[in-house]
Amino acid sequence: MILVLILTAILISTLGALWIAIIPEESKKERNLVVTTTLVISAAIVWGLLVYILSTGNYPVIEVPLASLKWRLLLDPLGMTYGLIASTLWVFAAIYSFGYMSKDRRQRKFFSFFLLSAGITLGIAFSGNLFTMYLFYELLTFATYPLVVHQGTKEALESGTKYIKYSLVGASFILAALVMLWRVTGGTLDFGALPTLFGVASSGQVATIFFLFILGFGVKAAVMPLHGWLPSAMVAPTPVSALLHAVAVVNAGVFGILRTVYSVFGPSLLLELNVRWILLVIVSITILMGSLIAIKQDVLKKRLAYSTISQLAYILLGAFMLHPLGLAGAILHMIFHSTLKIVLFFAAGIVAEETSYVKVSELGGVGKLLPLTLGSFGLVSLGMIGMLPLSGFWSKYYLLQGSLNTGSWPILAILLVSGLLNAFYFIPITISAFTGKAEINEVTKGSSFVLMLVPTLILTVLALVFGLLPGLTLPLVNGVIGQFFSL
Amino acid sequence: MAAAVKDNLPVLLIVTLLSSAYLLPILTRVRKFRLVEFFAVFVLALTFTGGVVLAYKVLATGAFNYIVGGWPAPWGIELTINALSGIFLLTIGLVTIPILLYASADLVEEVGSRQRAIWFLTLFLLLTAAASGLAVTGDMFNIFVFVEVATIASCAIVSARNDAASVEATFKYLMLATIGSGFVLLGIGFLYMLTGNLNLNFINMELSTTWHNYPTALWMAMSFFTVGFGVKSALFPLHVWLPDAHSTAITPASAVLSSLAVKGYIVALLKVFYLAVGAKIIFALPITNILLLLGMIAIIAGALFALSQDELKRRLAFSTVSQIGYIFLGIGLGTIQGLAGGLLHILSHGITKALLFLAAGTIVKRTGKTRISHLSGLGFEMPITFGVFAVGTLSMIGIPLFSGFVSKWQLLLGSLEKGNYLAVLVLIGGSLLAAAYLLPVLRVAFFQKSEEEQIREPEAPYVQKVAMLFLAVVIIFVGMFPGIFLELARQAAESLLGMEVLL
Repeated sequence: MILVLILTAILISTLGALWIAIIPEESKKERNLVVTTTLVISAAIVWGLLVYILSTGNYPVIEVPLASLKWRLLLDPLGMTYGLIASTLWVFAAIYSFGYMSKDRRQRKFFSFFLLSAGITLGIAFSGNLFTMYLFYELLTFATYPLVVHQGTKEALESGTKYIKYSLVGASFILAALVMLWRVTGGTLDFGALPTLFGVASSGQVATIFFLFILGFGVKAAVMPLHGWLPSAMVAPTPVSALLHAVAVVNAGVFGILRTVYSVFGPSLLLELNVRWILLVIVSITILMGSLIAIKQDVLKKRLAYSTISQLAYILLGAFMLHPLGLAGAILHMIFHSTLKIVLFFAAGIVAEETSYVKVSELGGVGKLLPLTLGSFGLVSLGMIGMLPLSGFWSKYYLLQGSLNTGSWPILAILLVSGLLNAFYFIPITISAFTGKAEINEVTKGSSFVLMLVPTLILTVLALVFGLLPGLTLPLVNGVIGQFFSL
Repeated sequence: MAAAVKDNLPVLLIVTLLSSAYLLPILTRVRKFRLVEFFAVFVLALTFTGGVVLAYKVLATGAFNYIVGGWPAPWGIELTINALSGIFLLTIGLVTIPILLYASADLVEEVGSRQRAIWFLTLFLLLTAAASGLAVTGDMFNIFVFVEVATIASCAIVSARNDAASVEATFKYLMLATIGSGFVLLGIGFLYMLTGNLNLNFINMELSTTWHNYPTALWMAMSFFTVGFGVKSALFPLHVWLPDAHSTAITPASAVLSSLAVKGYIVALLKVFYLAVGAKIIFALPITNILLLLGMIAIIAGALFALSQDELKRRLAFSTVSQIGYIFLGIGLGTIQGLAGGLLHILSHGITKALLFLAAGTIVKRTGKTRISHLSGLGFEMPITFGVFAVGTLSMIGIPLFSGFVSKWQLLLGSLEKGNYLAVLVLIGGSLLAAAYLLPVLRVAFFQKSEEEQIREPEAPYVQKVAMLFLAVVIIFVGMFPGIFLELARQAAESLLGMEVLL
């Protein structure tokens, strides 16, 4: 039963993608129906499975042995977190895309790959060993490439090539790490196989494998200096930037690192290897540099991209603390950053579509024309800075707790400084949008506007709900922590 | 009857192919040319079934010898059927059937006349017969015969179209291939002088006791074989004939040459090395190290050359040079995992490159565009052709789910088994370069807007689509369920390397 459900969640999007690819470009209603239904079904299944594993406490495994490797699917709280974020936000992004893409002439292509990526993302989330994960991770690159270059312009193609180059080189590091791990563990890539074998391999070897994994997954997680592809990829249509470059693809990288740190190597082994400080320094630099560069960006989407780079590093910071509170912060930040950042992108997309303004300096007074959009933007950006009553406060709170408990005062300082920098590059946007004077007096809001606004507003409300009732996420976070730390 | 067929299957494979090849010219008078073509495909299907049965038998009961005509060796002819034969016979079937099916759609039009079309079919079957012969043969004499048959057939098949470019390429190919044959013959002569035998098993027995007496002569013989077969299988830097020959020939010919013909000589080389001379002696000579080095150079150099080609078929031809390097790297590693990876790559590269060449041929034929930079916007006009090209590309890069990954993974394991991190680097670099030279084709075709107004190009005929889709399905099948192929490759590697490697 569980098997059928998992496979349905992963495969239904693929089938939907094939269906869309076959039906003609003109039959828009049928296509939108297929997209919505498949995504809602797979999201519903993921929610159902979440309730199941949290209530029963057992984590089902499905294995298909191959020659020497094997396909393996696993449902555990960590994978569930990522699967939940992706599959839920995919539904919102789909509705937003119906509006945003309504004038596009190649929607068939767009939505085919849009659905295909959804299935592959769930594949990453439910992978039960590194080999299966590597498979879906590679496929994600190829399935999302058409979305990045959807405009077909020279600039789009160039940034698409950049994306492919970065991703393939990253995946090569992972492949090298996989082969070496396979040798060390004596022929298994299952999670949890390594910690018991420490002592068989030299610590240098284990550290090499670990850093190869971090390098590989670090590309998609946009850890500096491997982040170059992300700002360029902003040339993609806004729903793609919102979903892939704030949620699915970048979190695939982050999730890969979380898996490496917690499921493959385990906190105790990494503490023994003494790699924590190097990692913390790297992500701290990414946090600060990302924020600093974001301040300089005038193009709104690029500013958001650098903000993403900085915020993803928060998640990694929590993960690399190797402390339960740090991990709690990381998990919460993965959830909250995705839900917040997608709203910011949605709002930026609405502004660009309705007024054709894409630069921060052009936004003066736009808030009066699009009050709900800019209102959401302003509110949610407070969450990004980490203010109550938005959800973003709680993840930062746990990150701060984590850094206090690991006794790392510098990290505390970095978190506070970065919070200030976030305020620097977010708050002026909202202020000028509502106080400045726009060059145009009104915008014509079509039916597509409603389709874009509704998901934006719902997610804004969600951010408030999580901010006021953070306890809602407690079962999931406890599940993840219980998986890796015995308290 | 059935039992008689089953018992004599090894020799029947070759006899059926050879006799059908020579039967075909008689069929010129058959009114419906389609029937002739389907007869040829039917023969291939029949022998493929035989190959599957043999492979299964080897997997179940192990390698065996077949004595032709009841006269035992050393006087009679002996065929040796082992896992190596099994994997190569499978490759032959999986590659030749779709290629010939593809060719049957527009063969007469491609080569000019019915007469020439019949000759093409004859040559095609001869080449298949020679490849199957190399797979099962057990003595030096027959290795030489089949090598020669394969060489003549491949040279002739290049000039099937009879235009200036292909004739020039044929001449170049013929010259170098003949020099290669000369080296092989010299090598066989040396081995015969040293041992007085042509049967591989007998040579092995003789050499295992006496080789210490003539190490230099043996070393010379092995060098001759390496150079001779190296030229024929396009081992870098002996590959110079390949890009011209493989890119000027008609599409099915390019496909069969790149995916099959060059591999037959590698199988022959393996037989000489490991069945005749034996792993112990081979490892005492530095020959595998040289092959390892050449393989690594081939992977990188071939890929770099491919990268600089704008013409689609030439790019694929140089890609073959690079991929042959993978196979030699596997042989050079000299470990079970590595050799198994190399052998698996014979199969995996075979089906992948056949598919890529067929798709490329369709593109060139339907659009008249030979250069990659001119393909912009064609992807969605010919979705099936470019779709299967995408499958081939992903397999060539070595993405999991596709057959290329399985052999790449084995090769990587073999390299680590040997502790050779340079080989790991080269393998990964090679697959990144493969991405660099194949992905642009898809990028240009699918995502680049074309300047000129597109006229809707008709897709390939039905039969050709089926042939290409068949290969795509095989690639994905091998990628998803590599179990039995991997088992064959591993058994082949084990039986070739023998026990001494394990110690």
